[in-house]
Amino acid sequence: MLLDRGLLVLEGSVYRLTGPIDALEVPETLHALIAAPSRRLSAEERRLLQDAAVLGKTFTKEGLGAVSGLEETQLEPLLRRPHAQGGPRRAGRPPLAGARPVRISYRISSGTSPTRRCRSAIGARATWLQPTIWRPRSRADVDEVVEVIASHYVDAFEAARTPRMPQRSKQKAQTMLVRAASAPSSLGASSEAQRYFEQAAGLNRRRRRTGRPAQPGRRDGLVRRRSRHCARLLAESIALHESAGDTHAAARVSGRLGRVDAFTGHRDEALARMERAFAVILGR
Amino acid sequence: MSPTRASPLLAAGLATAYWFGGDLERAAEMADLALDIGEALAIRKA
Repeated sequence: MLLDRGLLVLEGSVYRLTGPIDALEVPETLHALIAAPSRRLSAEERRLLQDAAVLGKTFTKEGLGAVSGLEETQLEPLLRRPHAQGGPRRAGRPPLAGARPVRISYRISSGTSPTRRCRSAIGARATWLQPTIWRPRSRADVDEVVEVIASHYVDAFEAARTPRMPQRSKQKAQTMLVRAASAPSSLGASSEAQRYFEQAAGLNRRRRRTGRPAQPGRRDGLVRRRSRHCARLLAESIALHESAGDTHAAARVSGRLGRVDAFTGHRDEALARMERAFAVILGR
Repeated sequence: MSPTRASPLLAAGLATAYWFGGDLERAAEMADLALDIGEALAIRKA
């Protein structure tokens, strides 16, 4: 445990971490306890439970059908089976008792890397949830779910292994993260917004293909007077655009960096930078 | 955003920078340019 490993120490009446904790693993003594409920299930039920676990503590029958690929007529008898411990329960009823343990035990059995089935289920979950974004009943609907959708796509990106799948998931995750940032940004919660923007940009840092997601952070950085941090993000964005050969995009971001320079009192540098950017954009 | 659509916004930014730098003539020139391009492209934001 953390105390045994010296990562957590008691100071007075409070516990404090002594350093960063990269990964928290379930102790071996708890593995059997966690896995016990799932042993009582049939293989078919266990598979369904794994799919349900991907959706979360509660889920709808339609969602489970989309993720598992089962028709309603196939799902219904499985959901009706009376498993008092560990059986899936539909939305509106108490949280799914067995889903989390199965997912955790699943991770224990296969290390930290989900299998193909799990990765596929994560992708299916995000795809199933997406229509609620594009056909929302109200603005509030969008604000309510966009962060959830974003986190699902980030999960899908993390879990994906094939060359094409991560790219699709990454783009969708970035779109959703930038969209999730718009609500706190419009409310002046620039810290929160910046966190989303930087998370979107962070997905790019692994493959460095485009600098677009780093760009929106500039405005919130300005609002928070964190001009140095803001300038660093913009410079990073310019470098990414240039490395991708997109000189016009680099010039646009450079123009914005010029505004930051002007804002922080570096007028001459700002004018020179913006004039250069303007010349590039006009093709002079 | 296309390069053309970005130009009036950048020109407007330059106009602001020149204005606060005291170069009113150049500021007016860039503001006119921003308006011309913006109106030609029907970009309301510009």
